[in-house]
Amino acid sequence: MATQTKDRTRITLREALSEALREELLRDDNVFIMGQEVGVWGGTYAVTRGFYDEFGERRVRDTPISEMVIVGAGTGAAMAGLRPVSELMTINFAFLALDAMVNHAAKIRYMFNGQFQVPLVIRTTTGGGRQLGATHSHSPESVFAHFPGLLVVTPATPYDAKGLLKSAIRCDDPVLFVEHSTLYQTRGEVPVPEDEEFLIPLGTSDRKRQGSDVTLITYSRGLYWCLEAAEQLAKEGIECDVIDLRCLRPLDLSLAMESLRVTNRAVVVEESLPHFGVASEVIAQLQGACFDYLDAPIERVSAVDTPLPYSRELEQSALPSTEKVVAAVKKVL
Amino acid sequence: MHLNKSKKIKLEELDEIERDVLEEMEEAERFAMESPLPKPDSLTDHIYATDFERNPA
Repeated sequence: MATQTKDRTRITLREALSEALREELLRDDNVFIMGQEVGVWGGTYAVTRGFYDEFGERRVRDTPISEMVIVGAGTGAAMAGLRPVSELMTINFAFLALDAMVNHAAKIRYMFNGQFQVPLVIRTTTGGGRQLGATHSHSPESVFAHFPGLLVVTPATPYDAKGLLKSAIRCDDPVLFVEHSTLYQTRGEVPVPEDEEFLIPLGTSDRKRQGSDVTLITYSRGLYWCLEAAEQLAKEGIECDVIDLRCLRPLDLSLAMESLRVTNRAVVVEESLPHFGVASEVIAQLQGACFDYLDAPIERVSAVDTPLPYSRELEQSALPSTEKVVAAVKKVL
Repeated sequence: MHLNKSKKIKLEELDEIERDVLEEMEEAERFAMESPLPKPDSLTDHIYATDFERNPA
């Protein structure tokens, strides 16, 4: 249940997303939602609950189970002047829509010399930790962030989720908006719904905790492992500066670099697999820009390089954790 | 030919479409061959509609 003060309301990340979508549907008739179970059912994660009755089937469209169609039709609609929000039930199924995302949505503007734009948002969920087995537990954001032309947004808090989703819908570029499946019930403060102009610029990182001993750089669910680790380490007198990337493309490392020049030590935390991942890219860029400031090699905490198993114990041991972040921080100190 | 056999289009109309397409293609080829090569600094033009600030790195 939401609680409200004068200019802030405390809601779940699910409610924040729902507010963002509803406000943008009300603001712009060109915005519409399409995807599997988004209409009558109200969305797999109940983000669009009630929208079908409020906005009708023209604005909230149920589609067949075909990710290629959901993204392909969205791309065409965006090229024709609409602002679709295509929903893929999970990012695991986004592989089926890779051609529409990577070869069409992300490249059309470039291939046609700027004559077309694709203001398409693709909402999806990511992440493991729920015993859904190897094929339904991926965190493959870096696969999509690999391609120029496609933006990748990875919010962790209700505040960021709402402000970034509203900005994504208003953006003239295709945006993959990646929500973590374990964070929908996370609560936090956001501006009251009447604040239509609450927008967070895409491609901007954010400091979530101030500290001067070590820099923790992360995104999505990794933020919570980092904040818990920072809390534990503070009891030992170690202060962590926690930087939330919020977007993987465009990748804003300005805060991380500013922090690293003070702390001289850093750990990058991601839920993804370690090979060719977000941490690899972040570390490569930081070492290039801040080499003279480093007092230790930058550490990374990633998932173990394996498909995620079904067994709860094995899955948890494969994923990053607060304890693994604490251990990595102590390694760089 | 199916369209012609089913009397949806005449052969003369099909010929006209073919001539129009060929003419458009030849015009496009002529335009391309007569245009200067793209400048190297245009390599990353039009990737994004949005003008994102460059990473300070």
